[in-house]
Amino acid sequence: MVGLLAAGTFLVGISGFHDSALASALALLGVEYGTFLYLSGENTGRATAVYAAWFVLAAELAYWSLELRTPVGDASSALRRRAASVSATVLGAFVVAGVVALAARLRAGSGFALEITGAVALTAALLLVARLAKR
Amino acid sequence: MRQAATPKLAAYATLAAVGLLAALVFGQAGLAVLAAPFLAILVAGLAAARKPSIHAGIQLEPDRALEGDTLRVEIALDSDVPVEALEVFVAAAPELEQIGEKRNPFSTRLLANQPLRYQIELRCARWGTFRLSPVVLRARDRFGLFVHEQTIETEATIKVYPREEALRALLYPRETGLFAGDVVSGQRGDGLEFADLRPFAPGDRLRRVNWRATARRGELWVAELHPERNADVVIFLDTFAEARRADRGTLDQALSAAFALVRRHLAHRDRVGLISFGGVLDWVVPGTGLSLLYRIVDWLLETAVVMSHAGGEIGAIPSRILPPKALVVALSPLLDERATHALLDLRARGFDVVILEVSPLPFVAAGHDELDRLAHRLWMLERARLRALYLDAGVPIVEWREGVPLAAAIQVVTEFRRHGRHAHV
Repeated sequence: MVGLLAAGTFLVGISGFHDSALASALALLGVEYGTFLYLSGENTGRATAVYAAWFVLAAELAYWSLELRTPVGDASSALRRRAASVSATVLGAFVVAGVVALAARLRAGSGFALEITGAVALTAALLLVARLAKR
Repeated sequence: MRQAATPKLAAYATLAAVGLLAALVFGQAGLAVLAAPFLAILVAGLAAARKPSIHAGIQLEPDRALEGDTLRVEIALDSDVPVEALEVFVAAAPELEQIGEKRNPFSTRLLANQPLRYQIELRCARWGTFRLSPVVLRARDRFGLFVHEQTIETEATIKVYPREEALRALLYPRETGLFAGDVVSGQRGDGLEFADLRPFAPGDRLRRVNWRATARRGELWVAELHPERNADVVIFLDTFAEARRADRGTLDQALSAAFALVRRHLAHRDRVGLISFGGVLDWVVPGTGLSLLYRIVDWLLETAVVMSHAGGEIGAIPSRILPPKALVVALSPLLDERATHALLDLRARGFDVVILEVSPLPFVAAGHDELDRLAHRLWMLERARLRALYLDAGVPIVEWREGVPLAAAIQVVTEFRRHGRHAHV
């Protein structure tokens, strides 16, 4: 059900009615995958890194299609460059997701201190993004 | 350049933040695995983003053209940082139609400090002065997180002149001017053209003695000659209204004729003036020479039909624009009463007026139902009545249709002025 809703939202996004629908669609797919993991009792699935790469691929292609709505003449070379860039991004996403998945499988114990560490790491990451964006 | 974040940046930031937060709250590492690549792309993209400084210039070849000519536009681009995807759009007037394989807008990649030249071809579909400005640039970074936009105003301007009508003969006023020219004057004086013989009078030059007549009559007789003088010609452009299709209209035709008449008359050392009689009254004071030709041509390129309910008074035209002996050549579609009355008024004031009626008929089709066809017939009758009115007033008028050479229309008027009747070609 959530998957169908995500697909519909995705279609709304790439049809150009509402750009932000794309992010909502990807978030819904994430919710569906998270629910699947929760119900199956797993913390990370074996193919989670592949799913993450597919998510990135879907997002990259969707935003590419939005850019193509403005017709610009030419350019087979531009298409080739963009395809190569998307491929490299997806490959990089797979590597990053694989590293995070491997890290998640490490037995690092649990507890309040680890939770706090995670929260601090998350805040630091978001602050880094905000700082870079402001630059 | 103006920098703006793309929707992709906001979306990836949201996904990364929500995913990581959900992973922390629900204790699901899988969500962190999904969100991490988006965070990594953000960090990489933001770290690599550079604000480009792009310079753009336009060169035209040629910088002046005739209607229908092809114009080559070269766009030079240069940047101090590499630009992964650059979209360029040269805002050209719709009268400059794009031809050839190269597109506008176009997309390209710019390497740092390596100028790029891109050439597009445009066809000059209509006369006028057109600017190729602004040039709009839109640059995207490698990850598509930011878009940089810049609008560059350029000075690139193209003047497209109307195609000139071929002319063999010109129309001249009944009375010539004072200065030397190419028109045989009706007066007598120094010249080449023989006029008459008369008995010798004290003060006559010996070289003017006609020895054959002198030998026959037994006393000195001299030849009288017609001098060559210039003429004053005023082109009267009716710009109150025009009939037009998408690509062509009566004003285009009138301007093409005016362009040809002005060039030819100035080449014959005549004094030429111009009046744009319409919603806006404008004129060029009669004069001679090459500089006047350039001034008139530039003036013609700016001519347009301006909608107005005022105007139409001949008295508003300064007297120095209309020399007393000038020939007034009116180019009019005879669509607006103010212009038609003004031409009759000019004739009534004693001016030598000739009307080249730039026919609106090829641009106007009768409707399909009976009432429309009746209205069309009535309109045609009204036009015929108007022509008869002009002929009665002694004003030669000829209908000049699209596709017919201007020379043929000029010939009809010449015949009329020579024989006082209408000739058909």
